[in-house]
This record gives sequence, C-alpha cells and structure tokens, in this order.
Amino acid sequence: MTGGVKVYGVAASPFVATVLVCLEEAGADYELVAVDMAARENRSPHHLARNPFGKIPAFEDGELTLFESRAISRYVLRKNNRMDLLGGEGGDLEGSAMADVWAEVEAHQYSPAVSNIVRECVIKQMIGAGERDQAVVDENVERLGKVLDVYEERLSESEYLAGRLVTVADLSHFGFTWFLMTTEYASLVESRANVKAWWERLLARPAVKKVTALMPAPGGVTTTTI
Amino acid sequence: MAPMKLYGATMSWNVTRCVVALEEAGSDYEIVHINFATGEHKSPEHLARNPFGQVPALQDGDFYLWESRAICKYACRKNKPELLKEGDLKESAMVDVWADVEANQYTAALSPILFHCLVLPMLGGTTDQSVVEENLEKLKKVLEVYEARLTKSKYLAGDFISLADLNHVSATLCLAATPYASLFDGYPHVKAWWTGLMARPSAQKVLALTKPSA
Repeated sequence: MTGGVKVYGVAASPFVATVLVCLEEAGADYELVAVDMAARENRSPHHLARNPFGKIPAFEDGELTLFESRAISRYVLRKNNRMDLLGGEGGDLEGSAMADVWAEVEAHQYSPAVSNIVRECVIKQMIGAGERDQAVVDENVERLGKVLDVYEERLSESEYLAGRLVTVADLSHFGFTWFLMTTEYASLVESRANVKAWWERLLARPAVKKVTALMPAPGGVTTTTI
Repeated sequence: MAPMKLYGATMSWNVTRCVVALEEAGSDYEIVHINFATGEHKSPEHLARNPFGQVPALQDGDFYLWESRAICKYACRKNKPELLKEGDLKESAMVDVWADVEANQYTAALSPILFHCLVLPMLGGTTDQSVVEENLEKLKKVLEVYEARLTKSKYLAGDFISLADLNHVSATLCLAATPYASLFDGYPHVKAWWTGLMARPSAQKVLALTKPSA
C-alpha cells in the first residue's frame, strides 16, 4: 500500500494500539510495520533514527517522522479532520480543554497504575521476565481503584470522559484496559456500572473492533509481539 | 472580566509549570494558595475544581480545569496560540512530540530526583539515593537525545520556541537546589538552550515566586 502512513511497532503494545484506533477512527490508510522487540530491534540504528528514545510506536507520513503515541494520535486526527475527537480543537476552547484534561488524566493517573498491573500480571509471563510481584499489583490495584472511583462519578454526568462526545481521551484508554480485562482485576471495571458501560461503548466502536482483532488472545502473545 | 485563578502552592513545579505558560501568554491571572498542611486539597471546595484532589487547578469564570499541561495548553490557546502552532499540521505535531517527551521522558526522570533530594527531607523522610542514581542515569540518557536534537534546531520542536520548551522550565529550575545543579555542563547545546529559557521573564517570575523569603 503506497501513499499511506507507517506505524512501526506491534499491536500488542498499548501505546501502538492507541495510534491504530485513531487511524481507524480517521479512516486513514496505514501500514503496521513490525518491530522485533525480542531481538531488541527498537534499539537498532534504523529504529533509533525514527524514535531516538528507542520505544514504540514510531510513525512516518512521507518525510515527517513522529514518536510518542499521543502526539502521533493527535496528528492523525487533525490531518483527517477529526477535530471532534479532539474536543473541537480549533474552535471550542472549553471542549478542547476538557479533552486535554482527560487525556492528561489517562497519561498521569490511569496508565501509571494500570500499566504496573498489566506488566506484573500479563507481560512478564509472556516475555519470560519472571513471576508476578503481588505487592506491586496490590499497591497499584488500590491506586487504580481510587482513580476509577473518580471515573465512575464523572461518567455518571456524561457518556464520555470529556463530555457528551467521544474524544481521544477515551480512545487512549483502549490498549491497557484491553489487557486489564484479561486478568482477574477486570473486576475493577466490572464492579463500577458507569465505567463498565463506558468501556462497552468503546469496545462497540467499529474502529476499536478492528484493533481488537489485532490484539493477542490471552496467553497467546509470543515474544516477538511484545 | 475577572482574572483567572490558579490554585496551588508555588513550591510545586506542577503549579509553576502553569505560571510559566500563563506569564508567556500574558494572561490575566492570580495565584490562590492551597494549604496542604490543613488538607485543603481534599476539601469539597477543591475537589469540585480537581476531582483528584491535586494541584494545580485553574478557574476561568465558570470553567474549571486541572492537570498542569492541559492548563498550559488552555492558556496558550486562549492568549498565545503561536506557542502551540495549531493550524500548522507539521509544526503542531513537533510541539506535541516534544511536549510529550518532556512529560514522559524528561520530567518522568527528573521528578523522582527532585522529590528525593528536596521534598522528602522537608517532610522528614529519608532520601533513597538508589532511586536518585537510577533516575539520574535515565535523565542523562534523555539529555543525550536532547543534545543531539538541539544541534539540529534552536528549540525542541524546531527553530521556534514553543510550549514544549517552556514546560521544562519549572522542574529544571529546581535542579539548582540539588547536588546536580551543574548536570547540563556535559551537554553544551542543552546548556545554551536552558540558559536562554532561564533568562525569559516567565522563568524569572517563577524564581521570584519560589525564592525563600528573607
């Protein structure tokens, strides 16, 4: 497929998954180019030329190379005129601010807690990096519970985090939450009615379904995909 | 039109991150102190501004927002959009990339160093030097990337200053009070970039606000 953009990484990475969801929402042509994490291809010169921090995703649109999943996502949405998914950036001062607020909440409140749970309960076993540290899990389950209490309250006021309409703030939760729901800690979501309904709304979106199909089945991830 | 209100304590580099952006944008604002010692950040009044009970929060008329970097973007969009370059697809993407790098790579490593060297001792705790060392190594690797980047452009997102650069100021100013004040000496382009940022009135304003009173 020529003329489309390239995403370097693997769908099983929650950060790559966010970018793929945004590309699907935007209806953009893209190619997912695998990076062999097990072989440390992310530290190779050709990958470092795309992402100097040696992480995934990296992204190319012609001459433009980007990294940091949330920056890539915003670029994709702007380019494809999905300003609605940015809360009305370019016109709606308050709407775009609320989309930013909840995108920051995902980055600084939600993901730090959920990523620790996912790493201990899912990733470590998949890549053979040792056994789960239950103390770390317990600490982060407590942390995540408090964050989700705020979400539960928020989602009693509106269907999506930034307000009435879905935004990138909601979509960026997909990757880590998908993995969380494969663990026994899915109860954190399922025990909270509004959070559960919100998650189900996200899963029902055609764009999210397309990316779900790319995600590994529980226990089905091989070392080359992470 | 009433001035905007920035809620928080100026010793927080998350609060002063917003001060830099508000100053650069020429915003009409005032700082309203939140007293952590009395638990004011968990009061119903403050939870209405920031449901996570943290600082900063910003009030603009009837509108409330929180998370320092969202507040900074709001201030820029409102009064100084050129710091974001929204409207230019490529330039706005570069601003976003390096603003995310500030948050996820740079301050992610710097913040634990500042916490252990400056905040913990003040709270009567003990600095965990292994945490400091581990994050110092991470920060040095980040600075290597910055050094390479800043040989190619004057500022992080390009040859124009942007919010991506400015979001670094508040936490970096705190380095001076730690044993790592001369950390940038090994990275000449980073040092030159930092010297320029520190000279800006917005950075000087933060210095004045955080200076211990005589």
